[in-house]
Amino acid sequence: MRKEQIIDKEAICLLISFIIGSTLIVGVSGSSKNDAWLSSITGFVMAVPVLLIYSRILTLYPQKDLFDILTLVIGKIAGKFVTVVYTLYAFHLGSLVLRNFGEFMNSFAMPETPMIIPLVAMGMVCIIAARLGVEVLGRTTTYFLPGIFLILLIVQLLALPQLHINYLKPVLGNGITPVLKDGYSAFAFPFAETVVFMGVFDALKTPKSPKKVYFLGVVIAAAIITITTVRNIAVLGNMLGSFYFPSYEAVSRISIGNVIERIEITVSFVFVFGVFVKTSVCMMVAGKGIEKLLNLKSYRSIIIQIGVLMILFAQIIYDNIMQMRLWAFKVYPYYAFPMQVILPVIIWIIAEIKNRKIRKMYSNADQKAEDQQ
Amino acid sequence: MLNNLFKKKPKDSPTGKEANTAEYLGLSKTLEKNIALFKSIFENDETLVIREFQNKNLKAARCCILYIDGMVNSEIINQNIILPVLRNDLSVNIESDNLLNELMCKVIVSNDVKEKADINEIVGSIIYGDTLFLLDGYDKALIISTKGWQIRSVTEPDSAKVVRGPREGFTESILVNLSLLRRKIKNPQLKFRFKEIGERTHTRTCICYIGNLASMDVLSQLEQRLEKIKIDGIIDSGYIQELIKDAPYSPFETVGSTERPDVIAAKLLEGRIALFVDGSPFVLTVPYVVVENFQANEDYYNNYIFATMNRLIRGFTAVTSITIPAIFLSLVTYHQEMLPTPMLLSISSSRQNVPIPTVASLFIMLFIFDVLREVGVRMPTPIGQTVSIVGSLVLGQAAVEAKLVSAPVIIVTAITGITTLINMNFISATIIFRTLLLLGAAFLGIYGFLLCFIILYLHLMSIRSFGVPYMMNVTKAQNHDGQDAWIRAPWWMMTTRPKIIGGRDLPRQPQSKNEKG
Repeated sequence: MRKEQIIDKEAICLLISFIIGSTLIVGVSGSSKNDAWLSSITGFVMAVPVLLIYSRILTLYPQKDLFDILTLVIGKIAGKFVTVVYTLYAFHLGSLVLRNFGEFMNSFAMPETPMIIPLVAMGMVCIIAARLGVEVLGRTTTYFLPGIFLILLIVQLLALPQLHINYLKPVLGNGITPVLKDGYSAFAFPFAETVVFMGVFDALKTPKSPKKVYFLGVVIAAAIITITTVRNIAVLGNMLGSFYFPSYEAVSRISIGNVIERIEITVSFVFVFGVFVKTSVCMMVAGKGIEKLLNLKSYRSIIIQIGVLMILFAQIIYDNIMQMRLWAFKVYPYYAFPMQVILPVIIWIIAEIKNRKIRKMYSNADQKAEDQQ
Repeated sequence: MLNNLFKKKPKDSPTGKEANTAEYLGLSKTLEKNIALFKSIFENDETLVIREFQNKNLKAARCCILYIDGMVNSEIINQNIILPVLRNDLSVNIESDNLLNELMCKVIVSNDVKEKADINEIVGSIIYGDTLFLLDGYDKALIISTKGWQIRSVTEPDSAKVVRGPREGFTESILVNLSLLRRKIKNPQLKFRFKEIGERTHTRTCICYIGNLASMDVLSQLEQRLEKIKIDGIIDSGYIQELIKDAPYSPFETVGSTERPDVIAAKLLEGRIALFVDGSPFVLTVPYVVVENFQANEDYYNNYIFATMNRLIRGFTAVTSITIPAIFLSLVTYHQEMLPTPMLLSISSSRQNVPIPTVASLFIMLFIFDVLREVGVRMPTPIGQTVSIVGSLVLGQAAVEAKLVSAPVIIVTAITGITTLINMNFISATIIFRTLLLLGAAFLGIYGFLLCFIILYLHLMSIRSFGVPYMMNVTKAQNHDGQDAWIRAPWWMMTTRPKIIGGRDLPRQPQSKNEKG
């Protein structure tokens, strides 16, 4: 079979949709109140070093995905163990995102519909996408993203009359601690979640591009998130933290001449698309992990089972929406820390040492060859 | 690879089988035996005409011609074969011993005469309208080209009429079609490769391309796929179109077809490959990408602004024909708050007292529209008035007045139906995905619509036509690929061929060559 290939632009679009997807609607953590926009910037700044590490690992082993790299770097047995960890993480993350969508549908769009129905509908589309592979997903995202940007831009412009810039003041009124705390939570969700992309970026066409892809993608996504957060604060003020889905609330206040009003559905377009991309990528990575774990030919044969399990897991993962927010902002950052920071750092250090050795060996061999000549 | 192709041919050729059952002896030296042989091969086929005659001067020259009645031009046979052989004073004019060769060289007046001994080839030629010339005492025969059957004249095709542009269209005869193309591209690089497909029909097909433009990858893929076809009969190019498709289950066509020589010429010049099929006025082109659905030949002959506008209309209507019913449904049943109040009021007032839910009435009306469309194609022309009256008055106005369906539903159906008819190229895809989106919208409102729309895009992105992404991979497309996609750039701007098709020798106008060099 032809090897899948994605080019930089597609990879960047995937990253942007992955990051903005659920964050745009769930929002960054609300405890920093009207400094939430600062905490999204802080989160991005915190994410820079780990992004450097992710892209460095990928650059050291071009055309290899995370699971291949694990085996190469830390050996077969330890590699399998870490593979299990990452597979479970991707699986869990996908379910969490799916559940975000389910909660949103249940509390806003269709309160009377049982949650399993939107979960199954979304899950099926993600299964189709994951089966078709990262190349098709990348191309689809590239086609859709301009539309998403257009929606964001138009909504942003329409929201102008509702903005109260003085809601942003006082900047850092509560001191820097809540900002840093929320910044860390923004670091874990969504920026450092891009660690799962290491599972699919073996398809990158040019081997030197991971750094560029990671940076452009995350910078654009961070800019969008920050601008949206500023808008939400300027529209909603201090109440920001008390809404489950602040963007939805903020946009629902737009009203232009009694004709353009209640357009919050456009926000959910962005949300639906982001959730779709994020869940598909997680599903694909979980599938790839199992493929490597069990030495399967292709993850496509088990993707339906993984997808169905994800849907069911999403159904039982929380009891209610309060628990979801508690988990997402308070527990998740600590839960995800090993996968997002500790393990990548370890892998990176070992990979760096190994690569030095190999390079030394090569240069020694070259020198010997030259000497012999 | 080419060698293989030709070596395989006799083995695959099923004439062998038929001849085997009769007698695979080859020709004998006696005339009577040969005639008996052909009589046994064409047993129960009374269109075979056998005419024996003799030269008046040379008694040894006993000859016989065989042909199929109706496939030949009898004037050629009378004037150029029988008459010279009868009248010529052979006893004086013949110098060498090889009488057959002498006849071929000096007597028979024909542009295409071949000496053949292989029964399979001879039978094949007789069936295709050639005349067999047998001579007593020789185990070889002459095949004289006398093809001449009735063909439709070159007329403007009904399927694609133009206001501006060439008016000729392909006919059912492959040779006439090839000549129509050859007249447009006068270049020895224009290659024609014949190939017979169909175990029983022996349909001639012709792969046609411009040698230094077409992509060799696509060409070899096309040849491989044609080689794989094992079917007893090809009646129309539609058979092959489906047999060589990349995504067999997809409702989207990944092989193009057209009736117009100018379109084929333009596509060949873009580096595509055409496949002519005998008996079908529709010529196939590969690779076929999505924008070709929206390109009309007239776009290139008209002013570019007008052409661009028309093309955008086609693209826009393609989207609306798929999405309008679903969007309407989700707005009126799930997201009424999105509609401005006055509009919502007027829609809901027209829905009052209507017993059927909007979903059901949309499905019913769309189905009825498709029924009307099909009736319009199938029915005899003289009774066409009835359908339009019944369709417009009874099903439209009367249904609304009787409060069976609401007026907005009729409007939506009409918009959908008309916009579907603009893009007849992918009508099957339109119908399938329109239904899918409608179901999604009925199920989960705009969210279901969006999810089904994502499925549609995923499908479009996943299909390829001979290795070329069907959606032309926007991200990889260069500037000059976009020039002829959703817009039609002026001709002085389109200096290069589309790169995405994989053709070679990209510059189309010389100045770009200079830039490149």
